[in-house]
Amino acid sequence: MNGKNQNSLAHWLQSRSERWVNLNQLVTKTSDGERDDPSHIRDLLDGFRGLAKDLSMARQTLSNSQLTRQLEALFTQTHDIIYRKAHHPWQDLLTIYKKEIPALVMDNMANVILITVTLFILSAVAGWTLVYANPELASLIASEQMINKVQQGELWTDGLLNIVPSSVLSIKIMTNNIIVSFFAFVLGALYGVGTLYIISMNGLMLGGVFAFTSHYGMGERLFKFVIAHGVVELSIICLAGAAGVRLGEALIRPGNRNRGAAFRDAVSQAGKLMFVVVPFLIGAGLIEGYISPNDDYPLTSRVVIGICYGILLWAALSGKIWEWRRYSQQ
Amino acid sequence: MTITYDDSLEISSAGGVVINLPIAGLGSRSYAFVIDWHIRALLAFAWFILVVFIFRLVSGSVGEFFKLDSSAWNTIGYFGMLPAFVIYFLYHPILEITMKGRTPGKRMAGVRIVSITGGTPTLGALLTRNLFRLIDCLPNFYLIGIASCFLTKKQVRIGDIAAHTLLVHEEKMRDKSIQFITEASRESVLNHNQIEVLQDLLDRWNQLQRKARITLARQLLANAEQPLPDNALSEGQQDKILHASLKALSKEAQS
Repeated sequence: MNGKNQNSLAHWLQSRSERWVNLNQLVTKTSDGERDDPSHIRDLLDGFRGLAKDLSMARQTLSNSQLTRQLEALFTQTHDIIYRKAHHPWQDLLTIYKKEIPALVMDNMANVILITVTLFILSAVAGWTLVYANPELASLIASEQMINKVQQGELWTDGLLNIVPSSVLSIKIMTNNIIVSFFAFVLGALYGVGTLYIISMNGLMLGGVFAFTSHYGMGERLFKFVIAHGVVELSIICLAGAAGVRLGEALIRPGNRNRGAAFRDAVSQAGKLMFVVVPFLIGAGLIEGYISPNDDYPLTSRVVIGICYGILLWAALSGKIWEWRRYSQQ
Repeated sequence: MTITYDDSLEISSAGGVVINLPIAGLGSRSYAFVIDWHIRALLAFAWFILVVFIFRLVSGSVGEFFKLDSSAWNTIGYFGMLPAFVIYFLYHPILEITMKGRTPGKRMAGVRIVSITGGTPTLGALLTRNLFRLIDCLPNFYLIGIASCFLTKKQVRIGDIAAHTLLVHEEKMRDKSIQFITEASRESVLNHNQIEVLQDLLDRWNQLQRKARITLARQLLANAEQPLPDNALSEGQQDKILHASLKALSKEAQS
């Protein structure tokens, strides 16, 4: 670069640098949430237009320089702010609960949910049949400690609150259940095989454990422990499994899209069910920590709690919960 | 807006300006993750210890720190364990949402999550990306995620494929840097390229190895026809003199 060019460049830099610095400060302010001031937005748009021209100039005269890279960074940030879609998280969340989840459950995914529930029931029946006929198979689904307790006429849930307090128990259970449900969903990315494994294993275990406890005459006691939280907990695992099966289906039968696009669509559609999974599993965890192991609650109240919580889940999934609210306001 | 890939994400903006965002590879990903893992593990542990300590202080039994009975665990379960779990497991989604695709670790590694169009990812995309960590981290040490990065053209893990996001290197405009280049370009013995190299070298002085920075500083000062320290001097002495010379040159350029 000769002396004349050097001087022109210096002059150009002098005339522009203040604008770039001002625009950079404006971008930082806007990114930090100061978006309401209309003068900011106007200045941002003006600055962006000027920056586009300056960037072209910088690329011609100073390609691969630090200055050009920094102007590109500023351009990208400003572009992102200007062209970003409007963001209404609460409204979007409400739409998911009110419209999208009921549409998914009652229409788009009804068949997949039915298939998953059927698989779960069949696995439970298979688990029951196998373990009831051969109680020694219980060692495949239960720990040695659990088996020993049952053989001594006790359930592993007996006196649970003397060992672990309800709060810790609830936290452990809800964390575990949420992780299992998330796994049931995301393992669908392995062409659905991972999800099918989780659903059938959970069914096998449930059926097997009931068969084993029944063999020792404690099936009713286990039912008493499970009923309050189990209705929702098992439904939710099936629901998460159905979402996972949807992912597998998209990968196996992508239709007229490529696999990537079909997978992404399935994730964004079926993934919305996770907004139901989390809150209901938190509730189920609290019931399992505070009510299920507490002998003060008789069977009747446990059945009522289980059924009511199940109805609440069904109402949320079908969208009826919002209609009830509308009726009560009329 | 049109998008193409190679080892960078090319975005054509509405005004016709084309920007290339270099895609971050496995190294930068891992570096950012390791930093973040340490931060979240330490934060979660520190919170738990703080709650146990406060509980002990209130109950007047600091000596028996971890000997907790059932009722003590009840309180600590809610105030100690639950927030610690939240910090550890929700660190990535919460920070990525509030910091628009960044975390402290990503910031230190100079990377950022962007949507496939180059912009800030949506809330749903960031939640999805984090949900799929469960599969990326299988069977251990993120093996599936690492394999996915190796096998995909855009070096993405399954979470990124699901959420339609990418990890790119991020450069930020620094006001100081622009002001320095502008000031220095007015009347300086250095040309524009040399000014940029000088500024870059001073910025990264402490990160460079001593031998490397001595070589670079010598080359820069020789090009600018500035006096050089004697080669016979020890490396430590040369290092100090060269650093002082560069600083003096930088001041002179801005004066």
